[in-house]
Amino acid sequence: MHSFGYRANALLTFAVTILAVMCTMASFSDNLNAPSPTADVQVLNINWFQKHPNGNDEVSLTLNVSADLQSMFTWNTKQVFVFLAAEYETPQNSLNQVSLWDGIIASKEHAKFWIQTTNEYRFTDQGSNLRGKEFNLTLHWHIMPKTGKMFADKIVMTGYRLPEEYR
Amino acid sequence: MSKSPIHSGDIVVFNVEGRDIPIVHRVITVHERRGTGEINFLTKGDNNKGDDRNGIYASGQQWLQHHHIIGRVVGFLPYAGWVTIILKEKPVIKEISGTLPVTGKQVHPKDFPASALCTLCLKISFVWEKDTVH
Repeated sequence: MHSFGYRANALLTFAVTILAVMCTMASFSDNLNAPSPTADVQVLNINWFQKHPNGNDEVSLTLNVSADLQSMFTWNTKQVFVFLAAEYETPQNSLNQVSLWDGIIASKEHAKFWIQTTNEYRFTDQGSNLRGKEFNLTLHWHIMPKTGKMFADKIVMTGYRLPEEYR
Repeated sequence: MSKSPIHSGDIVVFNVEGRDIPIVHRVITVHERRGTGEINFLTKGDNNKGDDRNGIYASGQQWLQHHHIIGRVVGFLPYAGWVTIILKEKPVIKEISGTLPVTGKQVHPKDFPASALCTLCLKISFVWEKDTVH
């Protein structure tokens, strides 16, 4: 009852429970934040658009991404992971989400940004359905806390379209 | 694991044939087939240059499917993983602390409040012991 092992166990369990309560309170404080992000993406250029020998389409784009995510940062924010995904549907697939670019924002100062880049990851279809395809570009962000619940949200931008012909 | 569908951006825990430790990476690409509902996922570690096809997946494997995925991350509990690491590397501690029931199995949310924050397969459960002995 009063052995070393029993006491060590009780102490450790109590300490971890207190830690858990503190983490929960820290995480809860994130709910009091009301973020107001803005974002805009333009497709500056279609660099090339080809069909691979294996039958899959692939396109390379140059994008202009600008966003202001400063309102997401709280004292409990470790970093914000932001990525841009193209979403579209095809006769074969009801949903396709292909990530084109991502970045890690480590501090509030860097959260208001403007970048021009070609797609970091390959925009490849399962099949050959991309000609003339309409797609959405969605900017997702995941707020990774120092401790606790992770929040994620997105802005969907519609109205983009791929060329009718390969080039 | 909650029933909501896995979309790009979700961080998932998955097993790869040939590896004994599960990997926790983010889904970057999703292709869901019409009709069969079969879904192919591609994952990538946030800090890695390339996706998991180079080095993480089994040789020849291009996609993950639902049966590979065992969990999804919803939160972080700092340093909680150290306990499993210590126990794995120094099994003697398990033997000494006979009164400390640390199981290698599933997390039980009812026992450990903070585990409700994380459906990761961090495998620790503590018992909050009441004073039943006089």
